[in-house]
Amino acid sequence: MSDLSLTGIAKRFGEVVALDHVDLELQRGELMTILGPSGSGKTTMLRVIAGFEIPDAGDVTLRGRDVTLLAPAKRNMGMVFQNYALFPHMTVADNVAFPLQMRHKSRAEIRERVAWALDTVELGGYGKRYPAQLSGGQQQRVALARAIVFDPELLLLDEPFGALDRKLREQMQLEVKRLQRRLELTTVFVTHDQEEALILSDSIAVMSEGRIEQLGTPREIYARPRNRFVADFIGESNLFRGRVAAIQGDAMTIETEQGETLHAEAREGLAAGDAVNALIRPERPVPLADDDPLDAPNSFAGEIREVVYLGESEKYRVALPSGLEVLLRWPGQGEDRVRPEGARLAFRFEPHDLHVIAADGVGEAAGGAAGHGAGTAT
Amino acid sequence: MNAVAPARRRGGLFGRGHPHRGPLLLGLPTIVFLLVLFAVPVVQFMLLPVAEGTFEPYVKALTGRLYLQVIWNTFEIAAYVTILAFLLGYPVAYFLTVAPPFWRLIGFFCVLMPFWTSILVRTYAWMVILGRRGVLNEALLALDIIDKPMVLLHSMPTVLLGMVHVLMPFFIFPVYGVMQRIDMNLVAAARGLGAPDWRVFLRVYFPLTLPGVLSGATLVFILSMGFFITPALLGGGRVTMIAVLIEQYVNKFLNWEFAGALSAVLLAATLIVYGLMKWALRGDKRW
Repeated sequence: MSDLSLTGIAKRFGEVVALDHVDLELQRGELMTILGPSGSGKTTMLRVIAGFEIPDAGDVTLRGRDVTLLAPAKRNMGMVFQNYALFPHMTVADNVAFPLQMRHKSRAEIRERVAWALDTVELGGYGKRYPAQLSGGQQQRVALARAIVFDPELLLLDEPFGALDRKLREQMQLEVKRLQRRLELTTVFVTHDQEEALILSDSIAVMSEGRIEQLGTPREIYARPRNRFVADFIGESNLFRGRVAAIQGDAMTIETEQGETLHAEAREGLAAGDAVNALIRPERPVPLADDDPLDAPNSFAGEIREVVYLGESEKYRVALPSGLEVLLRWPGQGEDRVRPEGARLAFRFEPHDLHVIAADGVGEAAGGAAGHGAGTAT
Repeated sequence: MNAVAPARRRGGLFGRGHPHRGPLLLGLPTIVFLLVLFAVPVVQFMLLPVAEGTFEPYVKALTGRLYLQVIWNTFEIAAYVTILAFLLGYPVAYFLTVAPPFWRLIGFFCVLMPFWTSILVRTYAWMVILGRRGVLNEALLALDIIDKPMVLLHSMPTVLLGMVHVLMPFFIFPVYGVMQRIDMNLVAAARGLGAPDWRVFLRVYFPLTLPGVLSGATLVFILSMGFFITPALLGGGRVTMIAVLIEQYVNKFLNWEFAGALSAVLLAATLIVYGLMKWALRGDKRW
């Protein structure tokens, strides 16, 4: 049985629909990320789970118990806030002891649990300090210790890494993930940062306009996005509008608006003439040598319009003769192998790597017209 | 050397050499004004006995039974006023903090209107309301709730009422200022961690407002100790506070030396209260 389940959760604020009948299920020990741009309803979702908002419709069930109307104080959920929300007038130890004191634990037990929690986040000697005397990363750990010290049934993380600088953020992400695994904490994590979502999650729910656009593992979401919104929101992408030109056995060809022909694997539910979006991730194509022939499927050559050097990788924007532009991302080259702007670049990719999305799918047109039910793609 | 120079050139308009010279120059008119017209006369007044070559008035002011009683009265009244301002003002400050914009505006209007009105006018207004033939007595008589006018003026409760009315804004504003800056996520966090509302208040919200409460309370307490008009008019001589006593020694007994000694005692008491508040807030720096 699932640890946390949300069924048909709906919430409006005046005219604004924040949540449009959302369903979610988390298994024991699962870390699910709710990912979406601001205004997608992800924060409202977290607040509904935590009990700070009562939904207009739907149920929240925690370990088989209906908690939809239960006050936050009675839910037994540990939450880490965006700005940590540490009590500034209490020492680190008092902050961590707070949820235990609220549960009327004995002094001895409180002392023991606080020591355990602070050790767990590697802040053993810091109990007597005040939050203001700690660095951002340390404050974050205290918030985490406070959220896990009372053995909560659910851990909620509300964009907890936003305030940290990049290096520290990555370090904390991995630490949180390890901790969450070790303690088998069922966790809901809210963020707008897709990279963070990919790093941390067992599963990702991509939200937009109060609906779940897609629910799946990080790999599924990245490689097989269900619609244009998800493809666009997660990672970098080349998304080409076009039509299915022909289907032969398990292969099909797609003709883009610019007239290029792309080869893909045939997909159920698509017929010749259907409008589609073809997605190729920028790292999938491989470079071809200048004298390689361009007769294999999905082989192209064009002119480099822009080079962005990122150290470990570099990006090229390549314009094909038809006008179609393709973004490529390959490992960064040494000084001796520079590909300059204006140079010719040839590349090829496997039909398998071209992911085809039916264009009448939802979230397709900008602003996403028709609604599909909440996602349970897995 | 050249590389360091620009960083040192602070103080803007006036200061090249000394970093504090500019601000000092800007403050100079005020400083001179206060020194010449306030500090010097006040110190002179309080040191009148010393100028006469005697310390006897100070000793008398600190040991005489009557004067000690008055000083004690003053402290007592100031304490009551402070407690009442806290009990009544704290919820008002909270209301101003959480109310939607329209009600906040109304709230501020209600707090500020009396604040901007002359103390004298407000005190006389209380006399009009509470007098023997005042509005309240007349109304109660007309409604047959009482059969003869109550004596409301010239009593301790009336003085407290008038003083709290005048001084409450001095409590409300510092508390409001602090409340406004409290991160409501802290309240949400406390609730989420299992605290019922009353414990959220006692353990988290109230302690966080404490700096505001202490400065507001100190302000009210200090102002109460030196309060003159309201106790003089509403107390009608029955409620004696130290400021009233000082005025009597100046105007009635023409004993300026003793008035100066009493003033010195009042100033000393005020400074002690202020010092205690600073001491109580010393831990504030940690968070």
